[in-house]
Amino acid sequence: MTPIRLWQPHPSKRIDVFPFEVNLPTLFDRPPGIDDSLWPPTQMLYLGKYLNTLGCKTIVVETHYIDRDYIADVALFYSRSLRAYDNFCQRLHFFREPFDHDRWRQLVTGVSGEQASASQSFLQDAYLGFSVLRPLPGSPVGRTVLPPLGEETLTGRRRQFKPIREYRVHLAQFELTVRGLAFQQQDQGVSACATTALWSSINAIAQREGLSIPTPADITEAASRYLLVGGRPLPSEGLTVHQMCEAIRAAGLAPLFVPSIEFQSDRAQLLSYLRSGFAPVLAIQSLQEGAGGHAVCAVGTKCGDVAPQTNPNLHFRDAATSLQGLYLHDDRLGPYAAADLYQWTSDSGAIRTAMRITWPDQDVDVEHAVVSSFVVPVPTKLRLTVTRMRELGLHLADTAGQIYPQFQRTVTLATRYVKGALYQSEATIFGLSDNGIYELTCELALSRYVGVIEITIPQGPLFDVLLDATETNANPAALAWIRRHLLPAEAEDGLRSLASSLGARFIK
Amino acid sequence: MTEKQKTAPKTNQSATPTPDKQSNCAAGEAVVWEAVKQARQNVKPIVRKERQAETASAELLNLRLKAAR
Repeated sequence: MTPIRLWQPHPSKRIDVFPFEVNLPTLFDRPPGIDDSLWPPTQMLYLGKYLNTLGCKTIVVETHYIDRDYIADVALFYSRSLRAYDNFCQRLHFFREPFDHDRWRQLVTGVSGEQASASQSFLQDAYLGFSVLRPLPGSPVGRTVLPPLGEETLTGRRRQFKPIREYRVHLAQFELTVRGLAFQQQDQGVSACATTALWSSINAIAQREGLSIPTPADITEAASRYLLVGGRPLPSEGLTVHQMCEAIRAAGLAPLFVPSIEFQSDRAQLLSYLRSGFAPVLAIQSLQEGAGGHAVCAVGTKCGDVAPQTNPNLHFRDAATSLQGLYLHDDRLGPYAAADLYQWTSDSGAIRTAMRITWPDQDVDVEHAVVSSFVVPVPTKLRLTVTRMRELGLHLADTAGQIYPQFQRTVTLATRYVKGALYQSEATIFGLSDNGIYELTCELALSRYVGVIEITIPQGPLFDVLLDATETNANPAALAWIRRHLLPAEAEDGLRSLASSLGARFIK
Repeated sequence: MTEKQKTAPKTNQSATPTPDKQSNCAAGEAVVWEAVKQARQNVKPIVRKERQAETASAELLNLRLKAAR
């Protein structure tokens, strides 16, 4: 008789090496089921195409990996299923150099100092990132960190991904790093699109604010603790914007809710938050009839040239007119999905912001959607909104455009937030005098985050106005007026007077 | 989101700077202050429109976000 086992052995693991295959699902067993729409998952196909664009050549698979997010999902939800879901995942690491298992063994076993260092360098130089694969049929793509695409698009536009950060990864004895922002697919058990979009957004900010990153299970629980709008929290039936705000508060951050107003205003808001390193969660509605709401996390911008001013009454340009597209973590597709922005006229005649979400290497439209609102998780002491920063900025930009007619209405307004200490660390490149540098870095008390109104011309900056971001209104929040090197000497007295009336120091 | 953010500020302090009454405005300064005055008029429609971004509606807050895969 075989004795009944009352104990579980400790797991073992294996590391496998495969050549990269653009059709990623061919590496895996198709789960049982008759619904062809569930396999292969779109996210896995997207991942294959995206990795191909990054130049992936090799996949290294860890067969046993405990993922913090997934194990919390198991504890909250999957452990109570009939099926014995594993509490571990597999983790795929992607490399841009071709190598096989024999080479991998050499890299691992080269123990002399020089060999070990060479192996580390080889792997780090070739490392593209990782993707955790959960044992969930139909929604396998767990925490995935890959780098964004390069700074320039094929058509000469500029990409910028300020919310990305560094992730440290341990594979065998090696510590590797990748810069990106974590993405994962909704599992529809614990999380829906709003959960994973919010999770990505909080990933962008929590670490630099010294906060722990909530798991999707934490987010779902926090969102539905006091506010269950309808239905049940598990399996997740989606979150409302209200619930997202609740989950953001529970994470130790403040939810900044911004309703979509119209195209130009939305672009100004989105550009300001994204270039400050915050990742807005967009609530969008498909233009397809009957489609519901969807949430995506904006992680990057695609910008062209700043458009000339078309309003004859205004004397400046708005940097937000350069924003032509966004890069989204869209859990129906994958990380950094490209979305072009365009104006869409609603039935009421309002000019709304719409987006066309496309695949990374094909010009095939996936969806046209209109932006309904967005929520930005920000540090609790960041109280000054972009709207209020821009209110003062619009006045200053138009004033500058009038007093410097030689710039022919190319004076440009932009706004952003930056950590005060970081702004001070850049003081030496502002073209300030020695006294100016000393005053800015040693004599000016700054809030942790400052709002910056940037007035520039195409050749470079004219001046910055620093605002105390812990204030609620921009007018009494001005801390300093920083003269930049291209500001003409004429009218400087007037600008000093203006700075003085704002209560700001004039630093030159 | 705070209570303050749910409704548009009715008496929001103007963001437009005003001349420091203590200072003697020289001719150059007068040009700047004239430009500020003009700018106040020029940007008024934009400011009014953008302030709507601080007004939340229940409809937007209660939009359920749950697109299927």
